Amino acid sequence: MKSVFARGPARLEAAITPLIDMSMLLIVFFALVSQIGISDFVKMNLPAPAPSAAAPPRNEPRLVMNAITNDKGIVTAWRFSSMDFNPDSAGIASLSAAVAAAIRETPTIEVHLRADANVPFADISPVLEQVGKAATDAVPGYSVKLRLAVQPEHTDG
Amino acid sequence: MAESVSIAASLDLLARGAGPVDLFQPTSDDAPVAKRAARRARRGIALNLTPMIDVTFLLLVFFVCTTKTLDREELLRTNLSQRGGAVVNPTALALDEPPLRIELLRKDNHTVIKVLAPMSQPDSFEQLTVLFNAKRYSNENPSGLFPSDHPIELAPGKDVPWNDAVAAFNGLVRAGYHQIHFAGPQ
Repeated sequence: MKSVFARGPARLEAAITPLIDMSMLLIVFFALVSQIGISDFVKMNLPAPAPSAAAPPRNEPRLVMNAITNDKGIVTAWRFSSMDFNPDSAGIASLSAAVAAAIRETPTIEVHLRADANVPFADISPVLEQVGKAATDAVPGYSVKLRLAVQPEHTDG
Repeated sequence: MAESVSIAASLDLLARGAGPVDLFQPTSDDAPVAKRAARRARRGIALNLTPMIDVTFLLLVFFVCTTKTLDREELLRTNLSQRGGAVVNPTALALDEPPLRIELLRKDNHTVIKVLAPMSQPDSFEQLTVLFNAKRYSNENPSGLFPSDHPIELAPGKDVPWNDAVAAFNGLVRAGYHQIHFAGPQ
């Protein structure tokens, strides 16, 4: 009994090392996820129809096409899967081929189109046309599940 | 016991006008106390982990919030035409029903809606919804002209901004139609 008291009062210590390990792992995870998100979701001023008939995204496989614009609102590139394609006919053909390959691999995939509200339709029309053709050539009778990205009504952007 | 004796001696010294006394000066009496202090000093450097954990959690909260923000957008659903892309060919003989064509034209920095059918022309996208909802055939509206699956061809002009093209599309979806295709610019 005497030896027990000789040891002095017991010290309570929290094991902080696993806590820090877990926190760091979570940070790395979220940093990577947000990087993937950033490459898919380029910041832009999306169209905002009101009242909107749009619905939140479902948990479907998706690929995202972003129209990258300059300060004057002219499309300078199409970004798909972290790759940039020129907005000329050769670039759009390459983009369509890449989209068609993804559709062949996963036919249930949705194609999300993200373009700035001020982009003229002339810049978007060739992409819609070429992507539709390429997908139909890749999978006969197939129609692309096109999804137009818009801003929800309750946000400012 | 040894400690109380030492304190009493020190108080005595202070009363006599001597300077401050180091109570913890090791003497032969309090040798175990000195040993313990030395052992404590040898135990090593203590890291202050609290700020690190604070910063870590702040970063965590930041990344969680950023990730949530990115997904906060909604989608209008359509299918691209099977007849060679987004453009529904207006001259294609293979069409079962001729699509109803709606053109969007740009005039004086405004988008004008032109419905290529003998019907009143809408002045705004809201009116487009009201007009086409009234023309939609259903059990509740047997005098309607077009069923909800009637093909509609939306043909924005070259200079029409994407915002207006989407607004027209959205207006037609709200009116209850679900066969809407984009046609190439005129």
